[in-house]
Amino acid sequence: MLQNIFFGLSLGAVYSLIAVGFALVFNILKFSNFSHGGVMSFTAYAGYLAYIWIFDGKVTGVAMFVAVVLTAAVVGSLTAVGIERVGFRRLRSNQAPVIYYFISSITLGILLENIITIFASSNFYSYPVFFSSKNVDLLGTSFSVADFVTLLFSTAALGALLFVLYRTKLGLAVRTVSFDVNTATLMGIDPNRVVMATFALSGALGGISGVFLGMNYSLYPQLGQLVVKGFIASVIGGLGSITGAVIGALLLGIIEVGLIGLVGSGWMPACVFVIMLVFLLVRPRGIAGVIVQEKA
Amino acid sequence: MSYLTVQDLHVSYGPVQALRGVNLHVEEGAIVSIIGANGAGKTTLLNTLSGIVKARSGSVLLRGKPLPERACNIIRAGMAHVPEGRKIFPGFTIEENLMAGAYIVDDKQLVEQRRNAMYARFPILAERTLQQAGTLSGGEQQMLAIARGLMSDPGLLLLDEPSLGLAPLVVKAVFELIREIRDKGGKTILLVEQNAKKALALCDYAYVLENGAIVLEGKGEDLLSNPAIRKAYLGAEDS
Repeated sequence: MLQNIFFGLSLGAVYSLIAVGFALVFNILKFSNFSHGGVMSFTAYAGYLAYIWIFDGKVTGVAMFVAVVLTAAVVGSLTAVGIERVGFRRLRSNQAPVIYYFISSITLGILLENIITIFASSNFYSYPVFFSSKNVDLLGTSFSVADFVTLLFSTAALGALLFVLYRTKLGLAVRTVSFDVNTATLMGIDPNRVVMATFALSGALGGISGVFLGMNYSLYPQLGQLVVKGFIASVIGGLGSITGAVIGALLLGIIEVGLIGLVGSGWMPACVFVIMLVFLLVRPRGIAGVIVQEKA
Repeated sequence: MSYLTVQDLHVSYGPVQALRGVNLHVEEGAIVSIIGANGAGKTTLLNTLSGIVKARSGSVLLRGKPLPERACNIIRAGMAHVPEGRKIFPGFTIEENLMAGAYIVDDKQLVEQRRNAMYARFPILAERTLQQAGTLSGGEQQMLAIARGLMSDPGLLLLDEPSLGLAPLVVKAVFELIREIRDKGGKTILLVEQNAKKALALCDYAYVLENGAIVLEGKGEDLLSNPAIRKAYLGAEDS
């Protein structure tokens, strides 16, 4: 039981990285950025290549893991910033309707997947094993080292993000733009830079989650489609809310592990979507959706 | 010397002309108001000055210099805009709203000093620094919006309909505040108002905007006694 909850939390931690990367962009531009999936696939491969070409044989274990994750995070940042330039900058300057952003993001996501397929084929690659398959014994049950590190590292990444968002000037600017671009501009905040920074942050999280996904599921071009998990977590937690995304993702992780035990892994995804639908029907603003009404 | 000079400003939204050749001057230390009916182009004028709306032609000079190209740099030139409908950040605390207003100020001590000055001036805000701004009353939100506008210590403050939707007593307080900002704070103020009577009584000089063009200008008290203005903007109760 305790072991299952822990496994669920570790899975949820990965989902929360995806969901928060997703929520960051939603917060600013108010659309569901499915190109995030493409970024995750891309960075998972980037981390893999960095392992083969650069780090293999030079470092091992945790150091290797950190090196690969950081590479992926940097590549993710750059990719996401590039995506913003190519796919969204012009839409913003033309004040295009939200649906255009949505279509553009899906297109770019698929494009990235297919570029990967061209260069790396649609084969599955197995990700390097960073951690021994040893278990840690704690509180009478045993936990795998990989899950432990996943949980720790995700928490650290989210902590760093929250620090940026709530303790720095950049974070203030990001949160200001998420309320109202025009008023933020009046305060002297450059929306172009804020959007770029947001995509960079989101891409870095996407990069980290890409590596985790690669470790959990092996590497293939459509790996990034697991962005759907982040989307579901965001819906459960409340679209656009960072804390909501984290809560939703952790819940989703635990629910999934629980469902696998109850109905098996075949039925699990179906049940998860039903849960999301229920949320959309009953509480569309999600768990954390406390929307402050602006007075007229 | 003229603090703000607007020359032959034309703005259009697609085929619709919103401003057609607006000229105006704001002297340093003056309160200048622009009055006019709904849709006359008052808000468009302010939004053009602060760069949110792009002009088709015409020039805007602030202290003799053209304004920066990009909207986000205009506040750095010393002009702050308190937008129509207040537009405070509802999910931010009062404190965070003020910090957003001081975004361009890098000196932390200076920011703190100004924030304390705002709390001293607006005790109602000081009591609730950590309260979400969206839960404030309309009048409190307006005070916060003005305080936020003052955090960058601008030379010129643009105020768009500060009395909108407020109770008469609160409107009175807001207008007293505007006078105080000029008298004690030494700011120059460009005020857009639908409440023509109050605006004309307060200001040094006023422009009347109709269908995107200035149709009349003059000293506040002169316009107040102008029969055409009385008929069109001040209502029958004054006659």
